[in-house]
Amino acid sequence: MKKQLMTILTVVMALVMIFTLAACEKKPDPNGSEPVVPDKTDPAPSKQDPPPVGDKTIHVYTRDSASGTREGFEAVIGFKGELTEKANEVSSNGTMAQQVGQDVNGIGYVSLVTNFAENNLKPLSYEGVEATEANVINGTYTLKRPFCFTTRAADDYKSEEQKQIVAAFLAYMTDSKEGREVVVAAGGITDVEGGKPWNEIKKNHPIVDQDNSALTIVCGGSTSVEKCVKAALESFQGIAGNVQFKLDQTGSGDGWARVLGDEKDGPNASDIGFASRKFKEDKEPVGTAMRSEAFCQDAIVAVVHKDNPLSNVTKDDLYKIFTGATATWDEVGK
Amino acid sequence: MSASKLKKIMNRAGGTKKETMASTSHSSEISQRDHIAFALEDVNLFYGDFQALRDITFDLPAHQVTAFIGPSGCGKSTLLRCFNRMNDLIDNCRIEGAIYRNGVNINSDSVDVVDLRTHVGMVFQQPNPFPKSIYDNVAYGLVCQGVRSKKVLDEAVASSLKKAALWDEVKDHLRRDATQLSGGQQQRLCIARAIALQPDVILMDEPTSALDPIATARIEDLITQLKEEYTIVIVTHSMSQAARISDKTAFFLLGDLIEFGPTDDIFQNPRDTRTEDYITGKFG
Amino acid sequence: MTRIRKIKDTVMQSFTWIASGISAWVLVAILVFIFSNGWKLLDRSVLFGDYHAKNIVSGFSDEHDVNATFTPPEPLEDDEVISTRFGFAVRDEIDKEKNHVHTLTWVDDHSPLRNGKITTAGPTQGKPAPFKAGMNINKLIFIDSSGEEITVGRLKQQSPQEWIPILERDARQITEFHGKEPGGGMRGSLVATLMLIGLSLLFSVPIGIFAAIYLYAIAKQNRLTMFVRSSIELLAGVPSIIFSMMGITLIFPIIQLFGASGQSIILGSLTMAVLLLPVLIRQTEEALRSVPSSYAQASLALGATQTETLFRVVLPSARNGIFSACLLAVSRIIGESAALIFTMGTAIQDSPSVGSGATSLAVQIYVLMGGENPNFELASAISIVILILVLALNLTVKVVSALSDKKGKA
Repeated sequence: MKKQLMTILTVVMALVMIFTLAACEKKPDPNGSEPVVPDKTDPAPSKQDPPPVGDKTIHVYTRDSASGTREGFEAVIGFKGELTEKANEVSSNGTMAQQVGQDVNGIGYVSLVTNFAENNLKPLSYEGVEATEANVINGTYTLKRPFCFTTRAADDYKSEEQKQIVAAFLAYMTDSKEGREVVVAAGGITDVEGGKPWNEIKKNHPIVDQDNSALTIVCGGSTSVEKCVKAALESFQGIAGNVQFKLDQTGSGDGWARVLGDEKDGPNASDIGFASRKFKEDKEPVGTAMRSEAFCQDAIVAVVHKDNPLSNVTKDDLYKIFTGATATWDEVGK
Repeated sequence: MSASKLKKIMNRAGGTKKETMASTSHSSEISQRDHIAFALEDVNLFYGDFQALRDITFDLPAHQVTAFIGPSGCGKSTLLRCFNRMNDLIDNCRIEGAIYRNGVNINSDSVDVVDLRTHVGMVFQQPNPFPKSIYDNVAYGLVCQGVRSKKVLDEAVASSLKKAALWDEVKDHLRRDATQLSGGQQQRLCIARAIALQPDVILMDEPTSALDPIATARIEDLITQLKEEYTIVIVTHSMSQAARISDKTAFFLLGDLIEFGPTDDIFQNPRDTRTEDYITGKFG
Repeated sequence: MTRIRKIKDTVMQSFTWIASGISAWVLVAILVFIFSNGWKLLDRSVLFGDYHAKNIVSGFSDEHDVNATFTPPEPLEDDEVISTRFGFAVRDEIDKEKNHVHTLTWVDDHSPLRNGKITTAGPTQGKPAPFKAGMNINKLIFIDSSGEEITVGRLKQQSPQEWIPILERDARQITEFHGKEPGGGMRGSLVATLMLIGLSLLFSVPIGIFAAIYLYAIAKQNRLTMFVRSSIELLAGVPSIIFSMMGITLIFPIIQLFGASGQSIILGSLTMAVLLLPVLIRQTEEALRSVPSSYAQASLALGATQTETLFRVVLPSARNGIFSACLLAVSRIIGESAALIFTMGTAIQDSPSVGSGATSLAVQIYVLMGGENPNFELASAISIVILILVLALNLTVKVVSALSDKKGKA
């Protein structure tokens, strides 16, 4: 009898193992994004959950406190300080996109530059207005904020060449037609036609015609801007003597600190600091910076999993969801 | 003449144990005579608080085979290791008294132990060739001394192996690993290894107890040949072995030297009852 | 046996089965996961290619033969768009960072676009610019029949279906090409890991062996020795992140002697060397202890000194154990990440040098997974490489041990 039991047990375990392995293999394919090892938060990243039906609990996702996107979102929706305790904090735009894309009952907010399809997300209309570049430009989509940069003080760069190459890059990205094109292609919102041809602008920046492979432009700050800035840097590299760059994006709060604040001389010192909001005049004065302005607009888009039937939210809906007043999906909009 | 004094005199000639007496210069002088390899005087040895050897005094003859016999734990191996100061390696071992060799007390601090050991070789109970080739084993001692000349080493290796009656069996396989040899061959290799340094004395601690009878017989024959050139001291558990191959025998019991004399005398006419009891097998 | 006892016995046995089954399954699951994600990525360009993408800007000065026609060797997929005038095909794809890119899927050998020269200032200026399948096109600039400069491509918000027809129709002379050679390789980290292993062993093995010899043979068994031994044991249990803190504070001034500053491979190696010392010392001492004491006795009885005995007899006999200890150390180095993140840095380098920072393979995985868009495939591919390395190391230990044992038996 024992022998039989052993055999049965072995066969059962083998079947279980094979089954789970097969399921494990299949996981990566369906949506093209990877099955992330779940972190300590509750939502189980499983695709086998049934679509959000009326009474499922809403899983709220938010960004960490250094995030400019969070500040922008909280400012427009108006729930600052009242965020529900059950919200899951993530530390970057990309992680937010990924997590909500794997949680059928999740809701969060990301930058418009995010690739929704690839991340399994559905962007929600805000107050009946779709989140598109056109709607941002014509002012009907109001959940928006500027992408801004600031730099070190003009005399605070470690060499004259460093300063010049930074200035050249910013001129390219912000003023030139070609640079603006790149930013737009990456999802930022700005007026391409209003830019000047690079061939003209580069006359003021002769450094781009030298070999700059020994120089590195170091950027820090907002994670939402990373896509636009990286695209701009990559296209700049080829026309600026192969200048190297390093992006260490950790959140808008660090942008100013690393160029003008108390981290500017430490190991995280950067050349350009980015934020997905305006720099605050009291806490982040930018008067001494070599250059400081907004280089494009961005929209914040509330997103849910693509299987979620919801398609539009109002400011009130979002307020209730993010403060925890609305706890389940069937209560949204009531 | 007191009985004790009588005993002392008899021991000098190879008789029984004598009492302690201050006669350092005497022993030293004796050890310089050709026919004496070691002159021991009042040797006491302690492992911590435990006394393993008590007042050992006798003269070890040169160019003879001397056997140390006695029951387990009587101190014979311990005494053997005194002759090449291998007891120094044991942490809590303390020795008093003198062992004279060529007029010098080998226990004194001024003696170079490393040098001593090139003159007093040792073969162990378990054959312990190094995991190297046969050639490298035999040449080891000389290489440590600094001998580099291949010619010199080759000659030394060949002559040692011949003297150890192993040459014919291994002369075509000198590079083979020594651990490949049989037990008996390994022991002869160890003997060759010790001989390569051209010592005066070869100490053997139960050299055949791990070997089969045939290998044992070969080694015993070898020992009988070697005594022409070397002084041999052999510790053995086998009284028949002692009777077969040794010239002199010393009987130890619980750290004391009970009797020392010509082998025939010890075995046929033991003076002490304890000796007689041991030999007839009443204990040990 | 009563029935109840029988059942109990069976149940307990089945628990042991289940426990082993779970362990085995977890191991297999990890392997399956890594292989399923990373295996298809492993090819020469990933193993030996640069990580960082190269942005190419090239110019064309020769006149093209504007009437040439090119045909692809094989029929195209549905979403590939071909330029028959210039001999290439493009497809809209999603790259690993979830961005749209226009990838070259085919380039004819005689395509005029292969004749570009790099215009970026620097040592590569004027050299032939690459234009081959696998690269991304950002934009093409051409002159049309009226002499105007027109730009087409992804950066103009055009899909390949939109801009290739414009190119075909209007282009008289292509003047500029902006594109990207995608990177995504691990060569830099592979080289950095090898350098790290070499330097770490260079520092830690001699010190470790000599310290082990000291503890084994030379130190007197007194309180001081016990203290030294306990400290070494304690050090073996310290979490590696603490070593990295120690590295950037204590070891930092030492490496300035070597001329390096800041995060560098040399700083990482020295930190790793300290990390490995306790393990090496302990293992070497055990290897020494496993050498039969009869060898040492025989050697000393032959008139060898203490150190001659150690170095001529004991150490060579212990070499298998020491070798295993070294290989264990190498496995540890390959798998280490916490101690290296601060001391070697997290900037992936394509051409690492000893005096500047780089990433080892494990740290590259950390960087890939920690960014905005975790690059699971490349991380899995690197994991496969790491597993293969560790497997090879273990096999080497076994083979070498067996061989040197065999040498005895030959």
